[in-house]
Amino acid sequence: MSSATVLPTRRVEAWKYSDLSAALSNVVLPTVREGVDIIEGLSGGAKSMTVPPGAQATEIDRYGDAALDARAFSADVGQGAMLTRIVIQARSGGVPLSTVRVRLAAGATYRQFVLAEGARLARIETHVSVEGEGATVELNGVYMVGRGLHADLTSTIHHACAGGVTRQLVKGVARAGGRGVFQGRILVAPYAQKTDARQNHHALLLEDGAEVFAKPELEIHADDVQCAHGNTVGGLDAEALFYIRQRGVPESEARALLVEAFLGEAISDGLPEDLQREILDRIRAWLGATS
Amino acid sequence: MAREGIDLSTVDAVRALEAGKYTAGFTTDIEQEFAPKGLSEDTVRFISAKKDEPQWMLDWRLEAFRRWQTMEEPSWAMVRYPPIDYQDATYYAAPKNAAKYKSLDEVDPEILETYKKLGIPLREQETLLGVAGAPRIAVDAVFDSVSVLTTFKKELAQAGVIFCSISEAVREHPDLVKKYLGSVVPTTDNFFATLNSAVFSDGSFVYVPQGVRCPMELSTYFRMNAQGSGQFERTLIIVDKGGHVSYLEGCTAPMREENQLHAAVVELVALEDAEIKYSTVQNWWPGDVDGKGGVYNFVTKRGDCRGARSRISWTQVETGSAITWKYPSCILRGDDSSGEFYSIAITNGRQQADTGSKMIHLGRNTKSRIISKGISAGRAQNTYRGLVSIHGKAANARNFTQCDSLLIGDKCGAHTIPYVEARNVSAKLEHEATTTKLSEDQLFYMRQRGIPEEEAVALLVNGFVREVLQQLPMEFAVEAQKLVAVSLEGSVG
Amino acid sequence: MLSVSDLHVSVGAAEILKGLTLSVPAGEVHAIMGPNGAGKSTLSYALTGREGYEATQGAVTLEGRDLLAMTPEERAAAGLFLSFQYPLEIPGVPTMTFLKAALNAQAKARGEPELGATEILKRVRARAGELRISAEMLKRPLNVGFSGGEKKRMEILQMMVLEPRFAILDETDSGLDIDALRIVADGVNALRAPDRAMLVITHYQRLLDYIRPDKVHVLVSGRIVDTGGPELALRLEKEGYDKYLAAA
Ligand SMILES: Nc1ncnc2c1ncn2[C@@H]1O[C@H](COP(=O)(O)OP(=O)(O)OP(=O)(O)O)[C@@H](O)[C@H]1O
Ligand SMILES: [Mg+2]
Repeated sequence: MSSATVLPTRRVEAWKYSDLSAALSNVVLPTVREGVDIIEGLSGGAKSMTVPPGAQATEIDRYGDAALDARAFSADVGQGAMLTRIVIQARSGGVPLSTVRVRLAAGATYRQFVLAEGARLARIETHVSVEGEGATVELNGVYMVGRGLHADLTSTIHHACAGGVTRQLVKGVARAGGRGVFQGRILVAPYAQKTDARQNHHALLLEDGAEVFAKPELEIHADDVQCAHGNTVGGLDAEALFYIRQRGVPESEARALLVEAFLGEAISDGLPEDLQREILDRIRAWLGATS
Repeated sequence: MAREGIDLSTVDAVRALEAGKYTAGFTTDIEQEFAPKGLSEDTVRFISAKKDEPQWMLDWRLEAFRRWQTMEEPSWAMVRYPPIDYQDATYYAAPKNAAKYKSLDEVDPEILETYKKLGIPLREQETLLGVAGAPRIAVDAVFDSVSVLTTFKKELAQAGVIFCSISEAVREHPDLVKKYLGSVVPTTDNFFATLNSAVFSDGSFVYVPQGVRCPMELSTYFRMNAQGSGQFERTLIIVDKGGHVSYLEGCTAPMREENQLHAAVVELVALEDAEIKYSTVQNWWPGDVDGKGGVYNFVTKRGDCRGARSRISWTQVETGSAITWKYPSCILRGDDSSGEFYSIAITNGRQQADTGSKMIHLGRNTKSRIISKGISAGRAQNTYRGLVSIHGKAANARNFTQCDSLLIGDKCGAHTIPYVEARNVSAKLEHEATTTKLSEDQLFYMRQRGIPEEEAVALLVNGFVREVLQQLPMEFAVEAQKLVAVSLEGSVG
Repeated sequence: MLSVSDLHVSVGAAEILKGLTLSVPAGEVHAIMGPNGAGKSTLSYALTGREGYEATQGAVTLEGRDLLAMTPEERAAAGLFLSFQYPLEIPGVPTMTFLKAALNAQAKARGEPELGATEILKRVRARAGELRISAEMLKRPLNVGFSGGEKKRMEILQMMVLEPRFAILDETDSGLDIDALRIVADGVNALRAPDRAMLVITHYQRLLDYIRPDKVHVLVSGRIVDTGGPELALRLEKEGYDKYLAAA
């Protein structure tokens, strides 16, 4: 690669479903290198933090309407410590880009929740590496995209140490003209025995013309592990819809009810209560505004 | 009862065979004729001339060759190998004096002996693998670059079925070949398919006319023998409206120290209400335990469910090759058409496999099913890679995918990479995958009943792959089951 | 027949059996009772050679042969059978295939002639009939999707087909309905013979009404703390284990 501005194309695996170069065609770009650190390159330097052993910290990241908003963040979570991070990407016509690198020491926990309402192109990237024994990763997220909007939740979880636990649950809904993307890789290194990793992505297409692309990945190099992933994409359950309507609930309300229940499963009780409420309110607002 | 017989025969196979023995690894000593080493337009012309091809075929090849020169070898698969020197291979090798033997009596006895050793019947009264009572099977035997013999041709012709080598089809049935060759896998499709289009040597051609159920199983048996030669077979199967065929493919190669290149293309076309069942047992030489030698298997297999209600089913048992790069796919174009992919991929030693399926849903009410069982042992890497794509017009499309991986030992890897693309609101897609090792508890339970560890492992592995084995025609299931057991020998304990 | 002396068994870092001594002569049936977690299943796994159940001290012999030195399948071939407290499901392996493999492996290990497929089938069908196990159940993969009680009956079927010299029944009565309990007990009694012996682990007197044990042992905290006749079981039913636990 030369030093000129080289943006990843759809041919580049990591950006397969998010055409950044097209989205940024009318933005003046700083020089960036191709690869996973592209957002870091655009951000002009990563913000970093350390959570000392045994401590607890919460980090909240909000993305608004800026034409291009690229932010990089890195965190070291000490032994037995816990970092909770919440990303709220509000609906926008811009290009919000987020990347985070988290390193977990023994017994540490990283809990993340992403709410993505979509943008011209929204990419929320998460890279976690389990570098101490028995660390826990909880990466949940919800995306909701309507016409002209795109949201991409991409993550890699690297289990480099034994006894780690990953629980990942991402749920998404898309309406006509919206595109949702989930790409998640779980990598278990040769010595990371007894890793227990579960990854799930479930999406609902609510209208014709909606698109969901998913690429869940397991890369396993240790044998004494329990790893599984599941992925489903489909429409609302017609039977459930009928059941609720039979009880007298109007169709649009019944739909909203089902979608809310569907998305709600990804919101963990461990999040701060005010944020849980905000996330639910945003989901309800989205359902009310577009149904 | 018969199925139980198969299960038990695996156990017998484990007992009977010595560890690490690749039984198809012998070479056949016959006089052979080669193309000059290297790859150029002259090589393409040489092959075409050897096969007495018409001008249009040569032009088609040359166009593909020119295209290939502009292409880059793909690098996204999870396989590692040193760069291939395409000039360092021989692209055509054939037994001398054998454009095609007219009858069995003319075939070089050494070649006959080879197929006999491999358990492949070339005499029409023989049955595959000597299984008594097995249905008769027509065989097209491809030895390096040429088809040496096709059996049961007369009987098939009476039913209207054409079964011959592709070279013969180019000469005898040019209209069919012109119409369908490259219509599923275009010459521009990918690096290896394009290379194949330029230099393909031989392979089988099948045409089943409207409303005909092919009266017997068809099979092609590919044997790579010559040193330093690649095999580039091309298979084309067309089943006309309402027709039906079940086709089997088997492959072996001698043990060679260098790597042999194999880049095949298989195209299937199913018209309205037609059904094609395609089964493969791939047992190319996998290389020795240190990863020396072995076949590089870069294969493009694709079926086109062109007509409404057509059906294509791929079943593969992949135990051989140093490198496997292969994604048998279905284009579900016709409404209500369906595609299936059942796979067992076993890697041991230093083998690497990146294999899976693509299901492209274009028509309404199309259905697909993917069942993949990967087993990785030794220092091998085994990747499932698959695509399920639902297009906007594919209303009510359905896909179910199940990928299970089994790891035997802590030096190997198992990877699962599905790509899922949904663009229709009424579609339903489900994907599930698990990666585990053999259950210690199950092993202990079996040993408590007196079953020795190695046999217990064989039984568990068989249980793991059973769903796929059941998809194979009976005669192949027996063979495949033995292969599964043999491929994993020496990987336990 | 079976002799266990001063057996110490550790699971991981924890010592579960702490000097257990027990002897079951040929022709006898002994029962073991004891509170949850006392080490009853640990004893059955240690006897059958499950990995992770390490005998750190003591000796175990079956008809004078040192069991601890053998692999699980060698112990099975020597005639040792365990009806598991929690029988496993083995997907993809049909019950008949499994039974045939086990019978023939044991025959081979003992230097006996292997049985033909039809002979095995006959034998299994006859026993299955007695246990009210349907032909359909025999066709399914081993134990897959069976109810708790069906699994227990399948364990007994295996025992009757394999005809072991020494059988350990680990809570085989749990999960059985009233009729099944009687059927299983009949099966067990049919297997009683002067050259066989059995160890029946149970929590309930009920089973012992059908299978009259020659002796009842009380296992608490990794040791046999009391031994008596069938009347001991009746007393335990009334009084519980408090007395032993207090002493332990
Ligand atoms: N694999 C293991 N790891 C750790 N502890 C174990 C393990 N297996 C057994 N134990 C412990 O050993 C003790 C004895 O267990 P065991 O299963 O032998 O009890 P039991 O007498 O059979 O009980 P129950 O009547 O409930 O079946 C228990 O405290 C149990 O928790
Ligand atoms: Mg117990």
